[in-house]
Amino acid sequence: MTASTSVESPNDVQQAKDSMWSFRNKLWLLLIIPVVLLILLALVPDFFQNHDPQRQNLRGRLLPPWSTSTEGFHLLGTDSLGRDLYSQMVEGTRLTLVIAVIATLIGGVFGVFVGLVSGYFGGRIDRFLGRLSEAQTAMPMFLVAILLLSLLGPSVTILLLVLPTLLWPIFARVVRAEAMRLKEALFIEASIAVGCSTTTLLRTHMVPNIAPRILVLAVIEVGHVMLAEAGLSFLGVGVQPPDVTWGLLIAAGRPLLAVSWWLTILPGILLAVTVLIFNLLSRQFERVSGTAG
Amino acid sequence: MTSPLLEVKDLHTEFRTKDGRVRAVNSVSFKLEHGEAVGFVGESGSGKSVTALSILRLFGPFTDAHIRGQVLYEGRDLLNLGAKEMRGIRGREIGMVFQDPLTSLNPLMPVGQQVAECIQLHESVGKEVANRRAVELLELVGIPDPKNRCEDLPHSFSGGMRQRIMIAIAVASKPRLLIADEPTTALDVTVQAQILLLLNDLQRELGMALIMISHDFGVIAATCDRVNVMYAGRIVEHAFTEELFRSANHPYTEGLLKLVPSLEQQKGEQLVPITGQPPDAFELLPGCSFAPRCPHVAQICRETQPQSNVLSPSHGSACWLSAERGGSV
Repeated sequence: MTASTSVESPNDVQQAKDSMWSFRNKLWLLLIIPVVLLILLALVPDFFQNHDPQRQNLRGRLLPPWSTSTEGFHLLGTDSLGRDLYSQMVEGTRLTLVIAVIATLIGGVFGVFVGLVSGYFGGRIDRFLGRLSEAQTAMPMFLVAILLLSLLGPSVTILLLVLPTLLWPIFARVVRAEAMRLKEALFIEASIAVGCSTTTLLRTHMVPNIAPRILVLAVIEVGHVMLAEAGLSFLGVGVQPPDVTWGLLIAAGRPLLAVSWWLTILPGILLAVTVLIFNLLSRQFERVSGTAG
Repeated sequence: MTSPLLEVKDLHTEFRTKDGRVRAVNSVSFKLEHGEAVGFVGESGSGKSVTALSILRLFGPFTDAHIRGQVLYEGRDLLNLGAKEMRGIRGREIGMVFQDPLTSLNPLMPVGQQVAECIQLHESVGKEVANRRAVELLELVGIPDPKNRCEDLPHSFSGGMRQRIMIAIAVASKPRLLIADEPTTALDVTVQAQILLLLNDLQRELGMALIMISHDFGVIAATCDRVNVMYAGRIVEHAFTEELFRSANHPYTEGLLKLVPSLEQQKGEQLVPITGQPPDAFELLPGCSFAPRCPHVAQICRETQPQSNVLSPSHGSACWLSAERGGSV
């Protein structure tokens, strides 16, 4: 930036702000609606359900979408025990989201920490942590997760410990690169020169400057973790009944795919659309925060 | 006579890289009295910045920098201090202003907060007091309407304004020594003059000593009482500023001074460049490091390193020919 552009820069910034909030570019805010809806589904499922998701009705088994049984109207049909699919999908939202978000948080915090230390200090620490993350990336972690879960017995807690191990190397890699770039920035040196301690430096100067990238990555990873959880639940080593997640619903419907497609396809579409929304949202964050490219 | 504020004795700084050792600073010694302004001039790579960074030990945690010698700040050797004590020196006792104001500020933090942060690092004062002091400091360095502008992010300030903010940060804890590493190189001349004036005013008002690093003799002449000329990691000549301009002794200083363009110069009249390149910092020549480029080179220059010859109590020149050359120019 030259001196003359920096004199004008308040205008530039105003313009950039205007264009960010102009109608065409505001369309992405529509993505907030499904996210809010998902959060509502997770918070107050009762409000959306018209059936008890666990209530069986053997006279109304495998009803297709848009049918009525003695229990009432089934928007998305019923499963092999006559449970309302729509209500089960609503019920599954909470655990699906909670697992995805918490696993991303755990993996993210650990990855960010490793990346910061690795990128900022460099040298031997960096080489050690780099090898660690490479070793882990080289292992087929999904298989390791299956092994761990089948050895320790599937449970949500174990799942929350296993899923972050798939994640942290991704965060570590991105944050390390950013930290290496930032530590050369003069303002980092300048804050050392005024007597900042390393922890203060990392906390108040490095992390806020990396935060947009971390956010972009975290949003996209929430989608990926959902898929991973669905995969593990599908294989029977993830969430166990009577808990419900979307992945579990897909798995439960699979043997009946030939007779009752909706049991597999509908939760599948919900999962796919949700992951897509998180992907799109992440793309938009990337654009708005100027971290694209 | 009281002891000097800062005394650097036989400072060596070298970087160990894959390709070998880079000797950036070789046996630099100088003294700085309370409230005095000293300049360091030299080409890029002459070791003037590294000297400043060595005083504050501002090398990254894993830059393989080896500093030897003594840096006595009020009798305490900064090179022997622990990390925590060193943090108490940086910013509190010795402030520093960097070359590029555009990247010296955290782009995501309001400027007032950056000044306040620095105050809070060294003094146990509340947030409100620190913020009030920050506004006062911004006013002191000439930021218009500091009360409102302290909420702004760095991008909404021009280069000159940002350098003023950097100066406000550097003097926030009233340090007794301010190191300015080419503070005006990235700025245009009118802004440069204002910044230099500001530095001089602050130096007088706060009674600070000043180390001014620059490749520009004009900047040095405007701000400094004494000058050290550096070449290849050594101080080749030191003198009072006027003395140096009047009677430069070392051929390198002489060459540099001839390179300062002046208004009286006739159009078409050529500046006289110093031929050749600064020496490779990987291997030091046995003799005077300026010998390959020196127009007056003699046999002894290539064989033995010259020591600084005292020409007057305040003037020294590390040149074999200094005695016979006297004060030429």
